[in-house]
Amino acid sequence: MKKLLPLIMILALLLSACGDFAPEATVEPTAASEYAFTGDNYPSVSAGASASELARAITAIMLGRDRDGAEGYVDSCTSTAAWEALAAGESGLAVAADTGTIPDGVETAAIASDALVFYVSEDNPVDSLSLGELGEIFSGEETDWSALGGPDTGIVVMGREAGSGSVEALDLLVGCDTELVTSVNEFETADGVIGFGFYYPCVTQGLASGYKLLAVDGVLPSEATVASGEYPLTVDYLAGIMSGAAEDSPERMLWLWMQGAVGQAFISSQGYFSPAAEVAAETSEVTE
Amino acid sequence: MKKLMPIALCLVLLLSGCGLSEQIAAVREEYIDPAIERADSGNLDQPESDSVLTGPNISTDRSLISDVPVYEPLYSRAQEGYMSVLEEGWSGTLLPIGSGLATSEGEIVLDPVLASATPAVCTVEGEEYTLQIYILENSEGMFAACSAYGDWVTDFAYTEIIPFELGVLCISDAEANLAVCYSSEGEVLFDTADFSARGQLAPGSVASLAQYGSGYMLCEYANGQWGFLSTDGTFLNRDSDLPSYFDGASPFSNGLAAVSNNGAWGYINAEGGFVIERQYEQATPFAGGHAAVLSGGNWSVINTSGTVVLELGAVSAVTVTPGYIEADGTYYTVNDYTEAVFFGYTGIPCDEGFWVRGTNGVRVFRSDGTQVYFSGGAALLDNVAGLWLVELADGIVAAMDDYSRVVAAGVSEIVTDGLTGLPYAITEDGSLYDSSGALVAQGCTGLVLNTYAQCESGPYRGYTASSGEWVIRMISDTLD
Repeated sequence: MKKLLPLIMILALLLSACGDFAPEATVEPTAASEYAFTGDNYPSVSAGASASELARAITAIMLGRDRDGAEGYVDSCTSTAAWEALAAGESGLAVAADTGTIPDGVETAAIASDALVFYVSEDNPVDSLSLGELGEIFSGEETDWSALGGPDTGIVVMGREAGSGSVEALDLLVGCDTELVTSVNEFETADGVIGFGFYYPCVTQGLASGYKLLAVDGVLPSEATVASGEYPLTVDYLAGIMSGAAEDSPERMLWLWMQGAVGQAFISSQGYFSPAAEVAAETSEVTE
Repeated sequence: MKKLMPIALCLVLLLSGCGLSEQIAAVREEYIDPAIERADSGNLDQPESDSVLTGPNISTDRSLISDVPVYEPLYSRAQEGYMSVLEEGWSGTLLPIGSGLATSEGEIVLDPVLASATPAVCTVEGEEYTLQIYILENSEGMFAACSAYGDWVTDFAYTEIIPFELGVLCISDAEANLAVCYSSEGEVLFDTADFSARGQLAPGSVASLAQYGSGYMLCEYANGQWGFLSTDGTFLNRDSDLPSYFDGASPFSNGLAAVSNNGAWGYINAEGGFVIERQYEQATPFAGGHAAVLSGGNWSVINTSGTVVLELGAVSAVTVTPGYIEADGTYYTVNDYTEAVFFGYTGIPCDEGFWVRGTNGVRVFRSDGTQVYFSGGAALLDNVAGLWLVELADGIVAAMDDYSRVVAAGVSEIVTDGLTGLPYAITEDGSLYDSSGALVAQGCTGLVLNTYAQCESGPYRGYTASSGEWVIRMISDTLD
């Protein structure tokens, strides 16, 4: 085998240089890239805030810019607003949490997953809550930590914007009083606080730093428990385009790239979890 | 099998149309890059071939992308447990953050229980003064006052708080005229509950006490007449033969107060005597040493001696400010009482006097007789605490000082420090410049308190010191 290697190399070099088979010297190789984005053809992207860092990262590498340079192409908003912007034609592609209420005519595919996590003050002795207890807290039935093994302190829910992906996920996975969980009080830092959000922004990006993550049903959210599915509250990030988008349209090319091996690898490199296998196996869904 | 490999390789190369560089690029895009990505992310497992699609090959450039940004707040807490009540005795400057308060040392001292926290600023004879006091409102709509430095604080016991020259008038029961006045040092200057004469005030008239000047507050009596109340609860002229009840009155300004009885207006001083006898059909408060009076159907402008300095005739209305006099749309200067026309240009009024646009710039004619010239200026937009906002001929808006030097360009607004009153220029992109043109903050919202600038940067919300360093930084992340 070793003796044949030089021969193979010489043969390969000869073949690659021979006139009939080699590409024109002035022609750029095209087999590697079927498509290239520029600032002119790149689709406008509406992104749920929790997925907006991903949208910016993808935009950055597609346009050869840094993250700040990608800002202008990505509108960060609530997940619900991202889907609405797509349906209204205000964006060509949406990347947002699966809110369970995707507008009609939107073709979606799971491109990543995340987990709904809960956090409390670092001084709060409560380390874990059951799904039932979380439901009681966020429905407003339980209002004091003392009933949950915590201090004799009222529970202060740190709300999020109505229509946010985490509110929708909380409603779907745990159940909640929407009015209670959308009452936004910024910068709550006291003992009685409980907040919620997605693992990626809260933990990976540190937006909940200074707080203590809670285990749910005894499972602490971590890269391992979320990736394995052991942590019980997971949510998909979907990429969506309008189903009528042309086969060669920029938004469809980008959408397909996100689902492909290269796109998935890049998404994974950004710290996002892969979508649940059974969902990713499906090519896409179209809401009607 | 090994022997077949070279032949297979040659065959592949031949059949694929050759182009080794293409092959290498394709292999890199399809297999090597994903493998690197997986390795970078710690996922060394092979992707399941049936769960991942082969996406289109799209040209990417990853040379400029940086690591995922990670955020970290910067704060501490003064106490364990929820701080719903503001204690006294903090060091540094109190800074409203979110709906709570923190110190300039980055320590949270009040959790988010406030609807608002506003620096108390009062206007005395046309000039704004900062009081070093915050007016706090809670979610129930009740008000409290506190020192801007945490030295003292009241309970949320007031339905309204009005800043004025003495401090803040904290009204607990407007109908019963119950109010307390706190100075900037937290001293109780008066409490109307201690006033034996409080019962003589018309119900609901306590707010008028904030109209203060020369040691007296304007008050309305229960009989519908007006008078002046001192901070010790005694009425002006009550113990003398001079009139203490007036059919109409305006607060003291420039040392005089306009009062009327039986339809005739005059002016009294703080001793209660008439400096200008009651003789006018109407009379305005003094401003900048001038007042407008109506006599015989004709308006005039008088000085504090009562001497007529400008006769205006039968105009319908007159406005007197420290910088100009206006009568039915015609403006007059306050130094020579002539129509505001300068070198053939009609003057446009501003706080300091008038400005005109000449051939090559904007010139300001101040009421004290001095001038400021802004070369290249097209319009004067504002003048705040010594900084001028000037629109230049090319459309750029610049903040300029008294010497016509550009402090900052692309300015959207001139703001003042809520505690020191110092001016700053803020540009459209949130850069904050002091009056010397030094950049002191970026991402500024426009709120500055004792040189600490409220700023936003990405998910961060907080304050930076003049050095540009965050003194407190919280994360605002409620969108999704």
